[in-house]
Amino acid sequence: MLSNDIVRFSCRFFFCYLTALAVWFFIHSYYETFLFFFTIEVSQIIGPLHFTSPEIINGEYTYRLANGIFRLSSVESITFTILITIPLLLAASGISRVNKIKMTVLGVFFLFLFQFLFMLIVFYKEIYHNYPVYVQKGIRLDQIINYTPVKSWIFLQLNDSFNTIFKFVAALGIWMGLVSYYKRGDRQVWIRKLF
Amino acid sequence: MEKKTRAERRREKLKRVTAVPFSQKIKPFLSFSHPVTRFCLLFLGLLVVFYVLLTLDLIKNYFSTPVTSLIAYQGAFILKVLGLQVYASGITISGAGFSVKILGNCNAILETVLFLSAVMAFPATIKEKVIGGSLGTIFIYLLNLLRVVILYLIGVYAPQHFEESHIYISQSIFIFLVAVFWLCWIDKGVKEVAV
Repeated sequence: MLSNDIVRFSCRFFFCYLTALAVWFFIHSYYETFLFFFTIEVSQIIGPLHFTSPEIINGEYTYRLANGIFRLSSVESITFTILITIPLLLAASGISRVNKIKMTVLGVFFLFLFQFLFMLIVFYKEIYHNYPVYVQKGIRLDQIINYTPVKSWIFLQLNDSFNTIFKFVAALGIWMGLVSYYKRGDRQVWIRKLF
Repeated sequence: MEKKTRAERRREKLKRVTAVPFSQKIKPFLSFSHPVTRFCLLFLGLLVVFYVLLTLDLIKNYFSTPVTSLIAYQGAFILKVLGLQVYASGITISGAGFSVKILGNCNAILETVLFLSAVMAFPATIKEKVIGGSLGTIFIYLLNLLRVVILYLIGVYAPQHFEESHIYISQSIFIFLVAVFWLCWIDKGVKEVAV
């Protein structure tokens, strides 16, 4: 027999998950568009590559660098982590509604930061990984980028690791961190605080 | 007994919270001897080691690709039993008007690595870890096989919902079930939970 706490926690999770899923289908395109535009705008401030002209053409996110137009391949593969973290946070027991709202806001904020970082990596990986092809096509990246194969490899590895495993680590880590923090006065062992 | 006003209670709470500086509060967590810190660092360390191993060509050729092919063949077998005319070729399942290639994210190796890192990093006896790791690996493998079959059925009968089901739903539920299995292992499989 499974522990009642885990069964109850799972039931609460699935209830919150279905609600979050229903809401997510209506708002995810707005959220993803905001994330995309935000990343492009911030890249212009922080550099070193200043991406410009974010646009949505035929449902595809496009942006410019030098005289080239680039397409963002996939943004859903990272934003869906919200669908893991928020229901997990809301399913935690022994936390008041106000604190749950605070936790959810903080969770979304931390995930947004993670997704922003990931999107920047995706932009850089796209440029560096396909650099020889783009230069051959006449895009003047050689004037603004100091290309080395090592940099290309680093961005590829960062992109792959974020896209495969670290998105899950971030989603679960934010849940564990926030629940542990909001239940810090609870005297039971850490792992039992999670459900 | 004198009844305190809300403002007084808030002032007292603030006094209590600010009495201990933040640096003092987090000091225990900065030490490697703190069980939660040790768990988190070990978990991340193991994850990085496993991830680096999985990027090696040797592992890809002799482990990841054969495992993915096995999932494709077993998935195709289950779909045949369910009455669909499908066949597997390498890592692809085709037939019944739909074709799907099982790529890196869908062979559940990364989720298994995530689970094994969490089991290995958690303070438990070797025997408990071996049992938890073995059962968890089998559970994740079977769960992934089920996911592949369900997604293929969605691809055949409701292809318009395939992308959403694949990206948003299957990944989030999958990682939640992996996390729950880990919590169940701690709840039932670890005798003395110290963290």
